[in-house]
Amino acid sequence: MKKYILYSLFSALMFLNFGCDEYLDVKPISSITSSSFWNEPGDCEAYLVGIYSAIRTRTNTILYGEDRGDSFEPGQIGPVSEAWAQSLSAANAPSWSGFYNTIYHINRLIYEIDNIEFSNEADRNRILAESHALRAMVYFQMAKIWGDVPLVTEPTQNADVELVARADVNEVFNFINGEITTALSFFPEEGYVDKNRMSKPAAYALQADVKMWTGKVLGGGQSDFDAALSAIAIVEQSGLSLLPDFGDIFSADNKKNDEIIFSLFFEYQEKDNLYADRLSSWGINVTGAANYEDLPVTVRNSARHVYGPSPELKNAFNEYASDVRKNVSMIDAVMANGEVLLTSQNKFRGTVYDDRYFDNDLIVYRYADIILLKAEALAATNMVNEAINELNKVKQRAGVPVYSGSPKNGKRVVIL
Amino acid sequence: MKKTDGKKERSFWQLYLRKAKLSMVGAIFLIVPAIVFGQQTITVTGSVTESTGEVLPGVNIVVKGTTNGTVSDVDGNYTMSVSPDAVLVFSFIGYENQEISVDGRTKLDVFLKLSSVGIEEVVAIGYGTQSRALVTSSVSKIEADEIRMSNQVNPINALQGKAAGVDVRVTNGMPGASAKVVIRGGTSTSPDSDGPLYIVDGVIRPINDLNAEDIETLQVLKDAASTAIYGARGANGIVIITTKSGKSGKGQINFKYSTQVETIAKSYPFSSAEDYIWASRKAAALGLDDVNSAKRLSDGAYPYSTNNISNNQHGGGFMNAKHTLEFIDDLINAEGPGLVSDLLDNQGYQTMIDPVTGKKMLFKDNNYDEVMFQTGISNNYDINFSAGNEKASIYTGLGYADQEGIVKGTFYERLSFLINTTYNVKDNVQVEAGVNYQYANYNDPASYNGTLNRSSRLPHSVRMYYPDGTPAIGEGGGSPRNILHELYYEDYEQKRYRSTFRIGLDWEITKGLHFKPSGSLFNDEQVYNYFESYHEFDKNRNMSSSHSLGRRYMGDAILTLDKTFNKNHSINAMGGANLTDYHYFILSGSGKNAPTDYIPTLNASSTEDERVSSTISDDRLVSFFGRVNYDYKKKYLLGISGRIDGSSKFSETNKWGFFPAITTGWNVHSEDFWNVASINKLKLRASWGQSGNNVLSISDTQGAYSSGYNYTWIPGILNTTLANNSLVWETTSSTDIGFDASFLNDRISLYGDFYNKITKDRLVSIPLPRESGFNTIRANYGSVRNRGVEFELGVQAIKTKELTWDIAANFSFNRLVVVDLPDNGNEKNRINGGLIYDKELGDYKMVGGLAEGERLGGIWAFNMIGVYATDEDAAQAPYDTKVSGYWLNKPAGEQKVGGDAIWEDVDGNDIIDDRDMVFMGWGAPDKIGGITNTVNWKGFSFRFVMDYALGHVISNGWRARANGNARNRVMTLTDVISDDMWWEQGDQATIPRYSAASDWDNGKRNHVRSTIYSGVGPAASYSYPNSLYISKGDYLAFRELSFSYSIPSQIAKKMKMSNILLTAGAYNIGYLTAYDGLTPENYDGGERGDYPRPRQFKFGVSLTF
Repeated sequence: MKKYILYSLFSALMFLNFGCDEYLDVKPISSITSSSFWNEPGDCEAYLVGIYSAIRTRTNTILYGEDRGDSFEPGQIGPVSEAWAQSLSAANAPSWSGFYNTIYHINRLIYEIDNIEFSNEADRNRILAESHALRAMVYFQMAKIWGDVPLVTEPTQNADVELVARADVNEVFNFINGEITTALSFFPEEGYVDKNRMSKPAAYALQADVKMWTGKVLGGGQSDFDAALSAIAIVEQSGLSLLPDFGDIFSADNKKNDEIIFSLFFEYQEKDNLYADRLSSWGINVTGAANYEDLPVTVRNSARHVYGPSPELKNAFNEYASDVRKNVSMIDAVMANGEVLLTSQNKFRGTVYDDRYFDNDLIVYRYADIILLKAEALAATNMVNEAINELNKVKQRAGVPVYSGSPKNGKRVVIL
Repeated sequence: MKKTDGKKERSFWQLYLRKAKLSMVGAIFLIVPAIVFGQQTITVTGSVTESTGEVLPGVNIVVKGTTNGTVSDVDGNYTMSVSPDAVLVFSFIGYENQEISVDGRTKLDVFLKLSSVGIEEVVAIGYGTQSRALVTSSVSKIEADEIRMSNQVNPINALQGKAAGVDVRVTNGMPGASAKVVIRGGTSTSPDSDGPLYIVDGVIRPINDLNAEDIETLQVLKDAASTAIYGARGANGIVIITTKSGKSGKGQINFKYSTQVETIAKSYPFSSAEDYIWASRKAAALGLDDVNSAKRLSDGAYPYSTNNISNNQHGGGFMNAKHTLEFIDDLINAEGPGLVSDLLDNQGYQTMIDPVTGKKMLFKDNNYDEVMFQTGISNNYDINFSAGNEKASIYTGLGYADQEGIVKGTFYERLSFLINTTYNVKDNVQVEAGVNYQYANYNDPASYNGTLNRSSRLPHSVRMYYPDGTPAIGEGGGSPRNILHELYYEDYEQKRYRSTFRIGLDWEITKGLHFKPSGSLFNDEQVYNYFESYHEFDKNRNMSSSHSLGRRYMGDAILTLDKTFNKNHSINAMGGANLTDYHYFILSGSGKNAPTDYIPTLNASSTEDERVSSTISDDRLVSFFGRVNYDYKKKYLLGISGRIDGSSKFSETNKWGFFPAITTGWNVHSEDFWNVASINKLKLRASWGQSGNNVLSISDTQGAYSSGYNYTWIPGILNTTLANNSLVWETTSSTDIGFDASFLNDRISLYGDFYNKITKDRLVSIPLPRESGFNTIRANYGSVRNRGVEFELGVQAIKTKELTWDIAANFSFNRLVVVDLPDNGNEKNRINGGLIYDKELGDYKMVGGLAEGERLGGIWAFNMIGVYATDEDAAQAPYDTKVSGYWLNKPAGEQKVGGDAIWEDVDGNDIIDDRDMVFMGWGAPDKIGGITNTVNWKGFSFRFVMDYALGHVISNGWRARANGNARNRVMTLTDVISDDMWWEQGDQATIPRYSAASDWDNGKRNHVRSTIYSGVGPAASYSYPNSLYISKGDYLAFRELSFSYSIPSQIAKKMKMSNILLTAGAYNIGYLTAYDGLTPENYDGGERGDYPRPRQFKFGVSLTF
């Protein structure tokens, strides 16, 4: 009897031992592992969508923009950033890891797509076109912020990461230009498929922007201005127009309008916290305002008045009483006795559901940007009259007097 | 072949049935076999009493080695016929067994001793038990009485201060909440999360919700020598809990009832609402931090603002405004004199003079802390039944507890059921089975940060109720809200259903050889539902629900062998296998915009707002293990064990891990040469072992692609975790050297241990270069060392027939040091940390974070050395880089005013920056322990329990936030009216000025400081590196003072009961500490205002039938 038990026990153990490895091979059900992704075109499309989401997160900040300029003053609540206080140091400055995270994803997609079979080559080309254009856009942002940056073009595979040295800024721009050229060669459509995504006209707008930067900041000179102008010429043929009402451009119920070239998608419940929530007030802090109902406040504490517009910015709008942009851009919270509690942004009023949600699209390029860029390029090319002509298109719409001074001063005016 | 097999089987069953019948017959003649088979016998009579003199009825008396036995009657007397050379074994629940040789005597009176943490005990060593005398590893044991008397709904809390080396961190006063348990310093650099593995009756499951009444013993295996047998999951120690089982003897029914009152142990030192208004208006008028703050005086937006008459919310008007403050003139003008006199005469409003305008104001002091905190009442019922004979045993208990918390709206309700049975199917086969079920229904604070940290400090001039009787909002729609509003509009339902089913067999194949297969199922089901009714500040009707199911199957097969060779050599061997399968499923959903408040569930949500998600995960472990314990004459002890674990969490090549252990011991007192009379026992022990840790997710080894990165409503996926398929088990090796000693004939016992524990191949997130696109990757890297000593002392200070006084004390000291870190080019390969100026060194040096050879958890802070008395003094202040951005671009002379803090410029460079921080102390205590006194006198028992922790500092975050008005709407403390705070030019103060606008937002950060370094300031959130608010946390806690009285058995008997026990006690009575916050029981360097641990008073009665 005892023997049988021992035998059976032993054989049970043996069975366990041999069956174990298989038993322990548990496939994850609710998560995707590295080995189970990248099988079909749909994976590439889903990954590209993820990249847009990452780019939207990365772009939705004032840290690298107006924070460091003179447009803001401390708001009622603050606290303002060290970037605003111009006291950035190696210790407190933001890291570029977020940018490289986005770069990793684009690198990963471009790396993996080679091994995926597409039944429709145009689908592959569109994904590649958008990916290369986005990679150019991200590196362009980084080059503007840091100048020399490491050029990472392959996805990280494991913990053994080789450190990449910072590339010279000119090399970075060579790469960006190459990426844009590659992207342009891949776009299957000439026009817009969806203005919330990279398109051929948007890639040309990016090219114009990049060329003007290298032309002006890096001293690239005339050849860059020419390149910018020819890119702009193509953008202009994509069916754009200036909206007659300045406020309509930004409105949450007039997205992807005729003035938009490329904007990042925001909508209630997908992504509804545009950075404007740092420039608007939480309702309870302005309950003393007589015009409370007109203010773009939130009931819950999603808005926080970290910044208000600086006197410099206000004065710029105050130059002409007819300037329609001031009331579209900002609004004072005024007490019954006329005292101003604070000034809030007013351009991105979002949408009111149960509360206000800042779900205006984040505009990357719009037609007016391109017109002003064109004016700048023309002025740099000494085509001053043509430049003033472009400038006045924008001035006219803003409700401010057109420039009628001498072309001699005109060049300076356009550039400023 | 087949035929014979069939025959065999039939005959087996026939045989079985016959035997069963026989054993039933045997059972009937249980008491008389001796008479039937007529040997020479004598009749022994006597009485059984406990050492205090109380008679003990129902004591089981058996002739050793036979089934011949009886039980003592209601007077404790017994009579039985035995052979003159018999040995009688007296046993009774809760008492130590006593063996007495008859030696021909006919009268034997016996005293039974209450069992306590004595030397002669049996301890669990994992898949078996061992006599304490032979144990060579480090095990602490807590008995049922100790757990019951500690008055903890969650049994793990009863361990606090009771076992050396076991750090029980109770930081949450919510009824039923679980403490964090750290054994011997844990194994990681964040020990708070290094919880031990809990094993309840052999089943791995969480300990919370277990009924303390059901617990027989609770033991902690501390060194790797004892935990190695649990291999991969043993590294953080093992807590083994054994629930009660039926004891042999007459059936007993026990009924217990207790009621408890709990209150907040220490209140916040709030000022009155009048002082709040006075201080805030005075500070706002000064407008020192925010030029706009003067406007706050009259914009109705802050709890110190007037102009509430122009409120347009909730129907408009003063009585519907959020705040209760107004100028009387204005209120009379706006709403008439009738309202004002009604408010003053009937509604408890008060008046005061505005320090700014000199005008008379009216306000209401709501004493919000009395609204928020309540006296919690609890009721606890327990009934259990226990019985047993040589054939079967049963224990079953039903418990119901209903406990209110001290924070309004919080409660914990539990229903528990336990049944443990054994049955001897045959002489050598015992079946055991058990079911353990708990249902818990509880309500936490809606959000610990929102409801407690923030809402508890809502200014007291905030309105509580609107005239229509509904609660007012408090600050606003987010947090902090008036807790009354939160409770009125929010519905939470949180329930846990936990059940364990287990069955096992103990088959003694031959003498000493047992085969013990067992199986268990643990089900953990949790249900959550949340709904917020419509109100003007949140019109969404947000709702969410989740349902989760965790299911763990365990199968064990164990073979044990006990054998003694040549009388002197004893072997106890065990070998087995275990298979554990854990499956987890969660379904959760959310919705909003339901058309009605009547339905709080998702079916009412608007369809387009419904979001649903579910997750399934599996985790498997296969193990083989074995152990051999050998002793020679119980003098020389040796144990060897090993375990092989395979885990599904690792990749193909690294699935298996091996964890060995070896222990040795020497009972020195058994040696012939031992002649030290005062030391009657001395055992020296040494052990070494390894155990592991597999805390990682499958995505760490195989990478993860996650959904949720949607864009334009198209689902997007991104690679969120980089795979590392070279991950291996984390291994903790520990060496333990210890001794067990008894002095003066067991009057004094002392256990001591020294351990050295190294955890290597730590599963940690190591930083990657930023350009890689990932911040970290999970890797095996580096090692940490915990080294310490611990002592457990037991003293029977008084031991007479009438009076006993037992003292149990323990002490432990642990030091956690980082040994190895990934090479990163830094000195000591430091991760995080920062540069500070060391005055002694006369140079800068790196401190904090993690560094090789250093302790971790140090706290550095800006050293506040005073307060500028005047603006002129302040103009001399060095440039401060730590003020808010608003003041950063002001030059040195214009940054500070009178009343701002003076910071020590440690490096003397005329700039205050992060390098000027100084060392304050450590975040976690390194010396802990406790003292338990038990005095018994006749039927009275008295307990006085203390515990202590030494060596930590605490940043009083909530005090800094209150004085810094860090949310613009924070109740003031009495600090604002003390002479210590700066108010006027020339004031010699120790607390910087109070600000009406947040000190953090646009202020000087006199109170709420920050550092850009990580791992240098206090680790806790909402706590700040400001020396003003950091003080020593050393404490001695008066944990328990309790009495119990056992009514004399004669009286009990008249009431048809065998025992009546009355108890009364006070718990968490207070602290001896220098720390000025609510509780010094903080382990992460800060107190932000959590759920305070309540003071409790309990009264109970226990009836045994």
